[in-house]
Amino acid sequence: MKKSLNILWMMTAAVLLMSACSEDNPVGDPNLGTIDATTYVAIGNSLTAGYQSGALYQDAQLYSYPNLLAQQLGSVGFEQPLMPLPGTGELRTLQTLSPSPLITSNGITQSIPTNATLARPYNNLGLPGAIIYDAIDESDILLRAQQRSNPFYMFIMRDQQNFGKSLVDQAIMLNPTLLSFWLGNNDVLGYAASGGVKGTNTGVGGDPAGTMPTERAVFQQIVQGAFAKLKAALPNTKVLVANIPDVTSIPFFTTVPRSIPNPTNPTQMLDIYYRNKAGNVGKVGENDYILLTAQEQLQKGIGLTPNAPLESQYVLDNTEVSVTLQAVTDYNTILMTEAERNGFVLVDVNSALGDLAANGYFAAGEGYSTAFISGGFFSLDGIHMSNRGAAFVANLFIAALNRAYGANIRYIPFNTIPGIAAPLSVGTGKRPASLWTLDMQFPTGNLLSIFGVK
Amino acid sequence: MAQAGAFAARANDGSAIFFNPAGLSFQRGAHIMAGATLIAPSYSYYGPSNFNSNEQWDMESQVFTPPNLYITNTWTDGTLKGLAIGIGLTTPYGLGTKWEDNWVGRAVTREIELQTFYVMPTISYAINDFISVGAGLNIVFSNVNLRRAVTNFEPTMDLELEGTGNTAISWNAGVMLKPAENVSLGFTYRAETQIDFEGTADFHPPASLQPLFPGGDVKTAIAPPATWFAGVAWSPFENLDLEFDFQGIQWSSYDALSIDFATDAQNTPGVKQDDVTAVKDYENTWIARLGLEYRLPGTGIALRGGYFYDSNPVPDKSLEPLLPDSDRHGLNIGAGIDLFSTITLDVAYLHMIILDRVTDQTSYPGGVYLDGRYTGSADLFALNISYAF
Repeated sequence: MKKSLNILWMMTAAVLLMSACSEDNPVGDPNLGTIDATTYVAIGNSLTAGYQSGALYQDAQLYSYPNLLAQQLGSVGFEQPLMPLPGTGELRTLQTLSPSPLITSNGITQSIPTNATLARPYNNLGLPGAIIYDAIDESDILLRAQQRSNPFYMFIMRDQQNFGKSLVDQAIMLNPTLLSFWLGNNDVLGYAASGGVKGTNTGVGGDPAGTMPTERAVFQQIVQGAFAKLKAALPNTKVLVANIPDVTSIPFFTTVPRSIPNPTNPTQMLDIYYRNKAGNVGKVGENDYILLTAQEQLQKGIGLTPNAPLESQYVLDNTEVSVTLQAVTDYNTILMTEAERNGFVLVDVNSALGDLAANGYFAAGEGYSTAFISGGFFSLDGIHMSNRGAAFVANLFIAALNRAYGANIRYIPFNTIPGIAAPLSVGTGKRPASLWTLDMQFPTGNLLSIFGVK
Repeated sequence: MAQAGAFAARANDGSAIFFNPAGLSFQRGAHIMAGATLIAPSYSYYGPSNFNSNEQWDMESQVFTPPNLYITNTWTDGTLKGLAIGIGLTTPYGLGTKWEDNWVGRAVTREIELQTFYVMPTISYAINDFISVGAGLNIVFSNVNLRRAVTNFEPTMDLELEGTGNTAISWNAGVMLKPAENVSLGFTYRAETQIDFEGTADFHPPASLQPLFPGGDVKTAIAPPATWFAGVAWSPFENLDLEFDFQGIQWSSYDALSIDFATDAQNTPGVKQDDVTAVKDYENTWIARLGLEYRLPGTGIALRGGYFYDSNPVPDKSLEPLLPDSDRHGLNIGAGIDLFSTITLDVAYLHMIILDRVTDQTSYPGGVYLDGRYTGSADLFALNISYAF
């Protein structure tokens, strides 16, 4: 008996020893490495502002990627120009998804930020519609607001005399310990989202001004100037520079198919016709993109015959796609080179979006893609990120910080972030043959003005 | 259970129906054995490490009490000498995990409950004093309940699957040998049971998403795997039994779990719910069991102890909070007490040390993309009363 109890005791001891050397946590304690998160400032455009579904409004701004990043960094006092509902812009809401998506807006609205009297620049200097030139442009914001029919200059930059004349000046005034810079998207998106009809070029390259993406040389000069100014004024500040994603992989360009079912005979697919910039009419081919704004036209039957083609601004044809992609490549080369030159850290949003478009993204049991609405990462305007899309971007910034500065910052798990608001109502009627059909409705209103495109 | 499940070579009470049906015909007379096991598992998850996080999330405490009942009769004389029959009612595959409602893995699982109920009519025959054989039918009733969050839209949805298994039939069989007075050997085999579940799915969507996620009829299948035991028992001196068993479990049959909606995106345009197949690729595993019993002379009391080591079948890539399995050590103590000449009370306590388990392999197409560390333990209490006629 005694013997057997001894055996039992020995087995117990052996097991306790075994459990004592169990595996450790795979993740170390959170730390900021060499990052000083005291003051974080974000320079950017609508993507940085937290603009979503056609408007800048508080519920979305709270999930802007800079705000999410500030929270993960534990950076306090990150001020954003929070706009109460209905916000500024043309806010879209999802009315129903069945029988097909219906998105509506209540027209253009304007809200005053709740903290409009803040006696210093905002930490979130995301200026919807900003092009690269706005980084260093010191001209009067009232003038710019009028010229570009963009109300955001007044809301975001407010007081040029006391806060600084350009976005870079205002950022410097805050004396940030960490700064992010993500501009240049609109220098190519303004062109692409207008179907190649408009643009932000200055005309120095030979093309008429306002017809092409910003010229490479102009872009380079501005980036060099902005980075040099930041480096000189903030020699010890850690700076992140995000590059420009390939805009043709976002739902604004990829949602409307190149042929659509005949409403009276859904098994028959109808070709779509468009008129190119030179005035020639042709079928939309597999390398052309029909913009989300075109579906209002298609609903009216425009684009379904060669006699009534879609106008050029609704289609980014393969020639224009080449121009677009070349601009993205050029800008990214410049951003990378100049970031390296100044010791700034590159955030490769372009690769990440390419990977998302090609392979999707999965996290904790949920899947995401670049698909409109169902993909989960894009808001209802097909261009700007949703709450979770912003978390995806914030995680890219965190990855870059962790890599560059020996930090161990937690990523944002997506299911702590609200998904896209479910539709308001139950749809009725017969189900369509595909998700996208002629009854898909999407307001086109004020979309272009925010790109700074005249 | 008091000897860490090392029982196939002796199987000298009603639970022989489960452990080794051949053991029945070496018993004497008619017996009823009834009882229950109280199981209190506890698990925690630390992660998701693929989000560079170690945050702790706990499984909700639950207590399971699977019952068991064995009725047996062994003829010790007359024309039926050496024959035994019995019937067992057990719930060997009862499983449940339930996590905090808003935990980080809620899109993978919130709750699963699998209940199986085995009815096991059994027959056994002792060919002589040295060898006996036995076999039983396993008639299996079951139901399953699964719940997880679908968080793509706000407000989120809660997918609930409820299914009832068909009446599944399987079998088990065993042999027992007594080559020497103080040595016995047991070998038993239980075949795989194929259980087909039919039930309903409900996404609990907001009204506006009802047309996209109508739920409705759903099918799935689960197959408790084939398993075998080989055991040897030795009595080195009077009143002491030692037994060593080796159990193999053919988990490799569990290669995927499919959920099949009657109404899905493939056959009904406009519907977004779709069939899923999750790759599991479980591996065959084994359990080593060591048990001992010492009968205090003249008291009617038997003291028992045991230890098992259970290697787990789940590859790193399939490790998920639905069933966060890991290698386990079981430590067991117990006693059998003869209350009267006809009534015996068996009590047992088992503590399971579940080794910490870390996975960084769940991110692949079809995986759960939820890496991290799982820790756990479980306590089991068993109580059985036997009556000898």
